Amino acid sequence: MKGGTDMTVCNENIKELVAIYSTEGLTANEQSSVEEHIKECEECRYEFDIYQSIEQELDLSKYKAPNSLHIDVMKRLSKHKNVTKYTQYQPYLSIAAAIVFVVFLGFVGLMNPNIQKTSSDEAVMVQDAVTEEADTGEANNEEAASAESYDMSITTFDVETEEALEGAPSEDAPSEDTPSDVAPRMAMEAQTKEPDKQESDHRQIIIIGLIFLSVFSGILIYRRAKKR
Amino acid sequence: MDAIEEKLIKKAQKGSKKAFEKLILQHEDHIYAIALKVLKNEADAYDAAQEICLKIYQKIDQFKFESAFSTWVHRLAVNTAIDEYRKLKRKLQKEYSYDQPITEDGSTMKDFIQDSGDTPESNLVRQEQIQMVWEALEKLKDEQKNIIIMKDLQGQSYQEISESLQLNMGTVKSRLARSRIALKNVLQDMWEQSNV
Repeated sequence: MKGGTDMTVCNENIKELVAIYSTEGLTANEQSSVEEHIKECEECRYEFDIYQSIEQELDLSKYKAPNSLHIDVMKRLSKHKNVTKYTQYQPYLSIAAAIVFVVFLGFVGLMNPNIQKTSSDEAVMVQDAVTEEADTGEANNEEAASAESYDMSITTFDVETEEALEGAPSEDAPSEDTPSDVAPRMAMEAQTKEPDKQESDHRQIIIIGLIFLSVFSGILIYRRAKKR
Repeated sequence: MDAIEEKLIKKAQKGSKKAFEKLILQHEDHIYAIALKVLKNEADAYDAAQEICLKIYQKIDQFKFESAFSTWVHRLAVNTAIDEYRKLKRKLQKEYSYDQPITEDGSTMKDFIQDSGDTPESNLVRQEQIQMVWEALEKLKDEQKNIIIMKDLQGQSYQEISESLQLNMGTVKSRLARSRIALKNVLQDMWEQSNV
């Protein structure tokens, strides 16, 4: 819309003026130039007609909504429940909270050493019996006392068993083991370590499963919430 | 957007029906006018306007303050009105043949679809064609659409638009002209595609 352009030639400048001819934005000179131009240019005359029709269609100033519209809208609205962000996502938040709680409980349960100790204590009791039977004839009071101390913790048991099997000196265990002592102990270690390993594997599988479950549920909840 | 409107929107987003009532009151004329323009029938426009208002209430938490609230309302109103128009047209086409009277005054499906309204028959652009302007408007860039809404639909002056957009008058005129040209081009493309 630069001044001084030849208005008889159909160019971008005159086309812009044609587009806003009916608005109050043109100078008297620009208006008369447009009028002159559309008399000569058929294409611009056609476009001028289109703009007139568009304006007529888009002009909403003469329409007024009936008063009853507002009343009817508010009546229908009164039947609606309040829609807030919280109420909208409430079910999803509840599910998310439940999943987090279950996962948390799972972790606490699986990681708690007291629970491990209980199952290990039972294993130690069985192992004691096996050891005593295996060592008949060569009863060793110190070893028996040592076995009793296994009840205190699984750590003590593991250290003593390993030391005993390796033949390392220990205050509680006999300093020298005969070959007949070593064989039953190796058997005992094989019996105790196998269930421990399996238990540990199961625990890992459960933890991984829970992590996958919580991540998967989280993604689902996020996608549903985003859709809404 | 003034501070009062912003406050009302935020309250309505939290579920306040009172705030929503104050807010929607300012836009009801515009909503009804769009429904009437698109549907060409007062009863249908009245029903559609109610649907639009309820939709605004249900979706108000999706308004992110990235555009003027009136622009957002306008977009929702046009889209809903066009959807209602299509539903109605499909329903009528299913139920009635093209030339069979569908109203008491003997209007036919043909009249409904090609209602010439207040446009003279001699006009180069028929009503059926020009009605597509509402869909065409939605295909423009936000910047182009906003200025057309402000000038042509809301009837704001160049001065008001200039202040609102913080642009000088020359830029506003130029932008409006280019936006109108873009609208006309989109409309002509739509006519070509639909072969009306």
